[in-house]
Amino acid sequence: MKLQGYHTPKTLEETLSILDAEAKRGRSAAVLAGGTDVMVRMREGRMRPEVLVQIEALSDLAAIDESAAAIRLGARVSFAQLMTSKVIAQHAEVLALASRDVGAPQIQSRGTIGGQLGTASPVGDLLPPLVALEAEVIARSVDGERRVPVESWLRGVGVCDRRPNELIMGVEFRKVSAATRSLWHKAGPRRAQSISKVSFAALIRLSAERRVEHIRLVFGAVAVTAKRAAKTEALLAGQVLTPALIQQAQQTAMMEFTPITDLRSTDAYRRRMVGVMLRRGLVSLL
Amino acid sequence: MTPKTSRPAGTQPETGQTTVVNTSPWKVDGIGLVTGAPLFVDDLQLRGTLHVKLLGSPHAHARIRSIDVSEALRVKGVQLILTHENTPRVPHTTAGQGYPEPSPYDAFMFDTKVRFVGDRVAAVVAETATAAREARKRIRVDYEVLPAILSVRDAKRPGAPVIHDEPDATGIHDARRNVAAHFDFEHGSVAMGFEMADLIVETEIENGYAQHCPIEPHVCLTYLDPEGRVVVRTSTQVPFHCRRILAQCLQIPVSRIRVIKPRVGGGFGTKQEILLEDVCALATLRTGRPVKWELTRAEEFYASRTRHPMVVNVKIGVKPNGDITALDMRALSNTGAYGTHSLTVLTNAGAKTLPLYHAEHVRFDGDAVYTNLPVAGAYRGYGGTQGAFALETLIDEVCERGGFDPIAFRKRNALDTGHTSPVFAAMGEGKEGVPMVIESCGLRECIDRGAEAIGWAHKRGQGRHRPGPVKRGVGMACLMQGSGIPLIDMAAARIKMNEDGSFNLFAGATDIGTGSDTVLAQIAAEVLTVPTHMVNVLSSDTDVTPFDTGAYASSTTYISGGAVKKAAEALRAEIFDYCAEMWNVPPETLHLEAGQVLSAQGQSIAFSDLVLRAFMGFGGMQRQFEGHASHTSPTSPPPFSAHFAEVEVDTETGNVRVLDYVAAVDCGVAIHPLQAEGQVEGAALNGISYALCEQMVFDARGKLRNDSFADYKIFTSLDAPPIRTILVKTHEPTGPFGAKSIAEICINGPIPAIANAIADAVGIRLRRSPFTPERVLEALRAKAGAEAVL
Repeated sequence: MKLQGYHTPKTLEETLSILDAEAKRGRSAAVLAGGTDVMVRMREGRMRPEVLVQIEALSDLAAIDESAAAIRLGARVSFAQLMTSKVIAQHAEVLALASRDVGAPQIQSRGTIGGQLGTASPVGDLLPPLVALEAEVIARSVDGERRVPVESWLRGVGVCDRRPNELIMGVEFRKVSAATRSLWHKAGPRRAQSISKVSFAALIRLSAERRVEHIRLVFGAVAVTAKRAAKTEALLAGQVLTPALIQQAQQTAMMEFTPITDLRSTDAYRRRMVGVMLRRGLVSLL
Repeated sequence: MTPKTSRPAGTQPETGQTTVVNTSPWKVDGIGLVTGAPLFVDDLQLRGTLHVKLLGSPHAHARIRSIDVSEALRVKGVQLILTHENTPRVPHTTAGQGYPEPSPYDAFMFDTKVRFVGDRVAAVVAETATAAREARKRIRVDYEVLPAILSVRDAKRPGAPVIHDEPDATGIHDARRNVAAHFDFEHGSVAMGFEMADLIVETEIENGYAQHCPIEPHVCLTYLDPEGRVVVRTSTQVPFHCRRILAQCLQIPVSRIRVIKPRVGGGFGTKQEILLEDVCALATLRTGRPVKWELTRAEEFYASRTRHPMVVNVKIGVKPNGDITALDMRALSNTGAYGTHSLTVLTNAGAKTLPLYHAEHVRFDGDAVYTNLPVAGAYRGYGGTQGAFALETLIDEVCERGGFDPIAFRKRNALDTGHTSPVFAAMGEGKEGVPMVIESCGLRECIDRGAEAIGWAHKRGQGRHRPGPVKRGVGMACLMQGSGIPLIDMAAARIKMNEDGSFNLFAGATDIGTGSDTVLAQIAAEVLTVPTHMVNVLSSDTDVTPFDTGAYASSTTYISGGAVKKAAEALRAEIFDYCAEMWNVPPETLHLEAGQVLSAQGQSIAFSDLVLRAFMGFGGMQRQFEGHASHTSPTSPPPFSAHFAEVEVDTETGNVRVLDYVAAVDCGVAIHPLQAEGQVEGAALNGISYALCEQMVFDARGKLRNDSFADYKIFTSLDAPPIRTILVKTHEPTGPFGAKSIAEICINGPIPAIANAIADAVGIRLRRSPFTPERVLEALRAKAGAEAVL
């Protein structure tokens, strides 16, 4: 299929009606924000939308909004914004940490959080943090708005829950308490423009006696989507963090995933890295 | 006018004091490059240019039963489709080497057989690249798919498919066994040498496929001049070889071809090939139109040239005092589908390493074999990289096993000034070499200063005791290369003088981003006592400049620089003759100084006045001052180098990080120290990236899986460790102003230096590059497993 249309809507309403009209005509529409995924995939023939809807004019979607308990990120918020925002640094540091490891300054300036959610790549570096934050994706169409937890939004390799007439508006999540520690680590072949072999995001709150009060452990690039290490979380929840427990958690986490061997790494290496990253992260809290 | 005197070169005494040489003036092409002036092949847009797209083979090995281009020819804008059916069948080599080339004639413009995924099937020539791509899809090819050889170790197995079964290929060593090239020699008897040894150590390394990754891909533009000659504007390292091989392939006279090399965006060996020019030139001759072909980045990865992957086995015998009794190297080189550079890269694996250490008995035995994988060619280091990985790993191992200090052991056995090696005479570029006595060697100073800089004395053997999972180690490697190919490489230069006292230098030498135009201008400027910017350089245009073999074999500064120096001296001799007559003084009493001619008797004249006078005929003494000269060398004096790496090895993630890297290099006198440092840093970084992360990955059918910069990882500036260059100054008496080469040697250091540093840090020997975290971890686990068993 060849590209047949290129829309540059000026308002949200116009955007939604274009998406709806194209969906009803049965044409595949791709929303274009930073273009760091769409342009590359189209050029390589891995994505063949019939229509592009460019949303540069929707400036509201580039905002980071803070309320008393929550933060809302518009879909067009870039990695660079996340890296420099004081609000993010204070209330969702894990997003800032991950953004620093995405691509290089050019990608960080152009690439957006909406793009990460729309592309739904297993190696999307912001997805483990968003899962850890238990963020909700806000999607809107002419039919209305709905909220979907990121975990269920991500359905498979390159597959997300977006309906054909929907626009990803952004995400919303509760602020992370000051007592909660954010962990982020990425293993890649080099220090920039590097695709993750394994990535790891975690939010952990310990009591004064190091009892685990809250824990979210999420790994990227070792499953079809960013995925929580649920068994390991269960093992640790409510327990006092000790070196022995950490060792047990390392073993559990390694068994939770069945990564693949591909161009970038091997299954065995990835599984070991899951364990090493987890242990090093937890040890840093002691 | 007195007849031209045949004055020996260098009438003006060389004081060793230079004013231009060994300084770092602005690059002569620098401003144009940084301001984006239109100076590359693709910057010339000619009206009516046709575009080429190649149909590459989808199979690693297949016979073409038939090709149907009828539907493709109907695509609007398609002018011509070239296949084996409508092109001349001339066996040749794509290697741009001296004639007769040491590479087999096993390539054809198009053949009835394809030998790797991406091999030429057809070329579509159309009004637009889009039309060419569209037509390409409509070419119907019926293939008889043949079994393929996808591993170097399978090539010689009995019953293996024969990759070059065409009867008209020549120069293949043993086509039926897929051996493109073979070389062996033995000095003394290594068997006897090993008998005399108290300790024998053997090791085997394997390096991987790698791509040169020049910023500018191969690109060629051809057009007809008003007389119907074909002009080839191309991104090449070898314009004169290109002209000759084009004449051969197209079966037209050399006189009908003009090759122009504009600025080139990097070569590193991959452009020492005739890869696009034959198709473009033939298309221009057939259509009368300009034709352009630029490889895509993906094609650059799988269909241009690569480094030769090799399995190199080396064995050493030593006495308790550290004397080497025998050195034995066996190499199995994978030349891919065609034998371009197969023999010479193979022999260089030994020729550029074995002479480094004295051994009573020394042997080399190697085969370069065909596989159905991408074609290996020239790549910076040219076999030296593979050989140094093997030899310098071996030296580290023998020191470890024998309890020798690696520095003392190397200094005890290494080549030095006044020494020779039987290897020089035994091994040359694919044949016997020439005997040579080393006249300049700063290796020991390189070792000492490099060791000092890295902190060898207090770091070696210490970093492994650090607490925690991250260990440190230091490793080293000693290196040599050559400076041109003795008695084969030839360069010529011509220089003329203008009425403002400036000069035009016409050199066959080929600046491909290496900085050679600047170096050559400096050499001329030094002789003629003018600033570098007074020498305008025009290089590499086969209609305008004299011959030069090209930019390869680390030859330009040494060989082409020698030609330029002689040409400038010839011009100077003309000036002296003229002034001697004008002033009626003996020419021996004249000298040049700061752009003037001075006589011992007190006369003087500025260059501008002199040339005005010579041009405009005051007193009838009219002439163009001009000098020309050719240069070859009977020897190839090696540059020497010692590399030191300090690494950090994370024993839990397998990550290896280079913390510090020191390259101490003896390149004689550096004509342009800043550019020399640039060559060192560039080559070292190239090598570090290759040592740690660069690799080409193939699927089970021989198709390259990572044909893009997204998936083929080279180091970025963030990954680059600090690289410190130490230029150890020596004076090579046979080189221009004491210079030797610098371009290639430093790519050979990182793999062994880093491997040895890893061994120092964590006690594992990595013998297969690149040293990815996956491989490091695997080796660490194997070691832990072995220790657990013990």
